[in-house]
Amino acid sequence: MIQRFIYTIIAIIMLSTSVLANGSMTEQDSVKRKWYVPRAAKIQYAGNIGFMAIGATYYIVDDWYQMSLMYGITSSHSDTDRLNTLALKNTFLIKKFHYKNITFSPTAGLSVNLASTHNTYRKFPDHFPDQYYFQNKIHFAPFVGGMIYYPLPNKTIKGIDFYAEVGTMDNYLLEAIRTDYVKYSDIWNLSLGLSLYF
Amino acid sequence: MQRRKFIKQTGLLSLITVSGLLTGCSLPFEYGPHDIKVKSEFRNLTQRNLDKLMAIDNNKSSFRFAFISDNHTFYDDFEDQIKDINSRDDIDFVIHGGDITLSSLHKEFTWFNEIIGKLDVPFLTVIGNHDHLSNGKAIYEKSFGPTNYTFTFRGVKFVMFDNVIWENGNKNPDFDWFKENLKNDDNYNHVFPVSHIPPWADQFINQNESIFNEMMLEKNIELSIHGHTHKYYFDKRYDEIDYLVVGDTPDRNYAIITVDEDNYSVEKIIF
Repeated sequence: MIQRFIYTIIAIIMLSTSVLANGSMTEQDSVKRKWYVPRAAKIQYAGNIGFMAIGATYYIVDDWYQMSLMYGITSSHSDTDRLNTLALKNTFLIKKFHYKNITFSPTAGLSVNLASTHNTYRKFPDHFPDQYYFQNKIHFAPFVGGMIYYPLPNKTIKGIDFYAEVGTMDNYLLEAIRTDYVKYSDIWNLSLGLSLYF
Repeated sequence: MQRRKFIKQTGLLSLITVSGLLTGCSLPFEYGPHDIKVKSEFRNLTQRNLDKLMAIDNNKSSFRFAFISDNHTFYDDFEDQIKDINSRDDIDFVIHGGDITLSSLHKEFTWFNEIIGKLDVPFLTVIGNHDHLSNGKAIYEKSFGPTNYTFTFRGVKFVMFDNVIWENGNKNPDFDWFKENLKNDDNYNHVFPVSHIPPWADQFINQNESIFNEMMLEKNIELSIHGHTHKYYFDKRYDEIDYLVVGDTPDRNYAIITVDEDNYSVEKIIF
């Protein structure tokens, strides 16, 4: 299943280079923005950061290294078992391919997820001896995916992208490496999302 | 030429989209590692196993069960352990002494259930301290049932007790429930308590060690069964009562307990 996904990514790259021409994904900004104004707003379904997560995207290096600050909720939890997630999602646009005014881009990245729920701590309470447990609040979640960007003829919302990602998490990856029982194919999950560019 | 090129490009792009979607369909969506998520096949397992046990609870008064504990995420050793138990034909059921996960993530509960589900005989569990982390207690309750419960089999009462302290809000175990249920209230041949933490281990500070042992003496308990310390132990720790602790799964040992009307015996198995 993962193999198929990787083949798909390779297929996109190979086919795109043969049939598509080069260009720039987004027009260079003529307006100088304040540093805190995000380039895009994101909404994501699943991906281990909540049932639904919303966030703001900033460009760290040009437009190929993007960082999104995401907040996700899982609604089926009661108050005592609340589950909120903050994620600092680092997305790298590996390459950009253009077809007419559409831009395709394979992506990869690492998300740093901070889960707030029952009995999860960055530092365990004092009644635990030192180093009794490793912290269980922050998880690192690598992912690969792809996105399609369409420019929009609108002054406020200049473009929209749709993306799909396949990701996993540090604990699961560790078990896949450490044990024969947990297979690499067992640890991946899918997420879907879209961004609106300002 | 222009038209041919367009058809070629559209066709290729459709192909990529379709193969991408097909790939996506076979992958699950996950909302969070701490999610309280249990597949329907892994729900209500305590009651479902007790029903199976009831079906073989005939008029005999002797039986034999295996006691395992602390598999955490040592899945390869755990699979070997289950295979070893399945290779025997003299065991009526299995009890697991807790710490069925490492971090109580829902996937860890699933992996545990997939492996222990391969047992040929029924199994019962107590909750361990690691299974209390995150939303583990809620997952445990959804997957198995209450963390304190009792059951009887061929004239023996088992008292399955959640005695986790630190991960359970640093509060004392429900000793009132424990004391009440340790009573031999129906002429049972034996009453065997099973709990994750032995009374001499780290979490039993202050008075709890003596409270636990006084209860054992008061109720004339002969054998108390535990996990947690990752080290095999079978002896009279405080001179009177037998304490059995088995190692964690990578220690590659477990215990077989043979019980009849008057006696019981414990055998250490190396696999």
